[in-house]
Amino acid sequence: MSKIYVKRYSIIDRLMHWSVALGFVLLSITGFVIFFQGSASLLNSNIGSFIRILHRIGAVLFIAAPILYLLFSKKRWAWSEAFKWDKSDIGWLKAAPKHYFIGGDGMPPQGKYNTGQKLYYLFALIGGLLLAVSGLALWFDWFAGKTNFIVLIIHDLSAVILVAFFFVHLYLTSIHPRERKSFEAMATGMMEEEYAKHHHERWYNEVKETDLVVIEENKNSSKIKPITSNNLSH
Amino acid sequence: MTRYGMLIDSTRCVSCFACRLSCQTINSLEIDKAFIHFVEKEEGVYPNVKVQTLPIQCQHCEDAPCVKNCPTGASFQRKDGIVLVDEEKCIGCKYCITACPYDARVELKKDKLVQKCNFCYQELEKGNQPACVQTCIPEARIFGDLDDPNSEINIEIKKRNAKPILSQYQTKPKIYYVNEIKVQEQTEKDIAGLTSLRSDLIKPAAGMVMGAAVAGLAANYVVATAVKNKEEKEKRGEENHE
Repeated sequence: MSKIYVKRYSIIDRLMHWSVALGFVLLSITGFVIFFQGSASLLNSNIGSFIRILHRIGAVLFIAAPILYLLFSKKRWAWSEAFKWDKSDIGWLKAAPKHYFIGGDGMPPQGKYNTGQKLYYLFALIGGLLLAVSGLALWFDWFAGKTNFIVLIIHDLSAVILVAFFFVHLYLTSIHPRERKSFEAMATGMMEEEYAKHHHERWYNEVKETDLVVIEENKNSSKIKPITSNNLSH
Repeated sequence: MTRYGMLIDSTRCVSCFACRLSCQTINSLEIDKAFIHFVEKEEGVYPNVKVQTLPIQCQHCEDAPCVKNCPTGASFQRKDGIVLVDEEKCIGCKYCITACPYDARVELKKDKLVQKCNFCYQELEKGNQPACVQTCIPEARIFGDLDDPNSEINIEIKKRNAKPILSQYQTKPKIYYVNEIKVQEQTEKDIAGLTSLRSDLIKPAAGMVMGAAVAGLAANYVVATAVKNKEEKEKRGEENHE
């Protein structure tokens, strides 16, 4: 059996994503342990110092990966997509509640990222930046007194907002019955042609000439063939 | 009920700093760490100079911001009003240092934990006075029970019109001062509002926001799955029909 896929995320994109994801999960779990009074008593024990080191490791993953990406990836400006909004985004927001509960069409055609993804991207960018800067300030004692406490509150608020959005992100990409297919794209880098056509029509039209591949799935192995003008006749 | 407090008459203080030394000794502190620090003020031109010293240590506040901010419950208040740090529970996060308006808390170098004046509670159990009171040469310090109207400290507080310092932070401190020096308000320490904002509003609201997000998503899952299953069933039904 063979299927047509669209190339969506390179190996570099995925490494960046999963490094940030791992960092963020480590950070939020260890962070909430100290945030909530009840669980904070865990930190007395030897596990406590381990939890605190995990928080630092998470921070390094969370901060270093985007910086390396920004320095070395050819797609370093991809995040600017999150700032490009137009009328179709308003249409998307209006149609979204019905679409995500009941399904059905009526969503305006979307680019590589749909409005919801752009919204999450925006929150991740701004919230992530706030988290990282306030976190470094707390880690290295940049401030004292009242300023330090305000920094702590900024750290709290950006973490809570980001975690709430992260739940939505996690849910839509891996649990929602109609959308969970999109998980494949960040796992393998490939998106099914059908899914791409349906969910990201504008993007699909841009890349269908160049970025399609055929994956032949045998029992034991799968072969990836780039699509050339010869086999484009499907 | 017993509620320990102290009176410090800084007009009697001779700036010998013996209280700090005895405190460091009894608590086995490192040489550059101390639970008592001094605010000093000089007035006049030589030879008519007046020096005033105000010893400051943990005020064992009734509404202690350090206790409120401690995430692990390491900082706590005993029934007799003494605020203590349980070193077994302290994780060295230093939120309490930030919260204390009196700068009374010290990060110990040896294990990076936070400690402070404990009113020498172990000496009290033996029937002694705190070390700083015992050692004060001009007897500028009086220690006792604030709940007992006939105690020496209560009588002297009234007689000398002693008042807590920095009472504008509204932490209800239990050290009363007779002083001619004004301790400067530290605006960067005025965080009582912020600390209660964090513990009384942000923390419960955070739990609710995240709970609401999870609940909303769960509801979506139930509805979306039901709709999808129904559609698939209908599809299959139609196919069978055909």
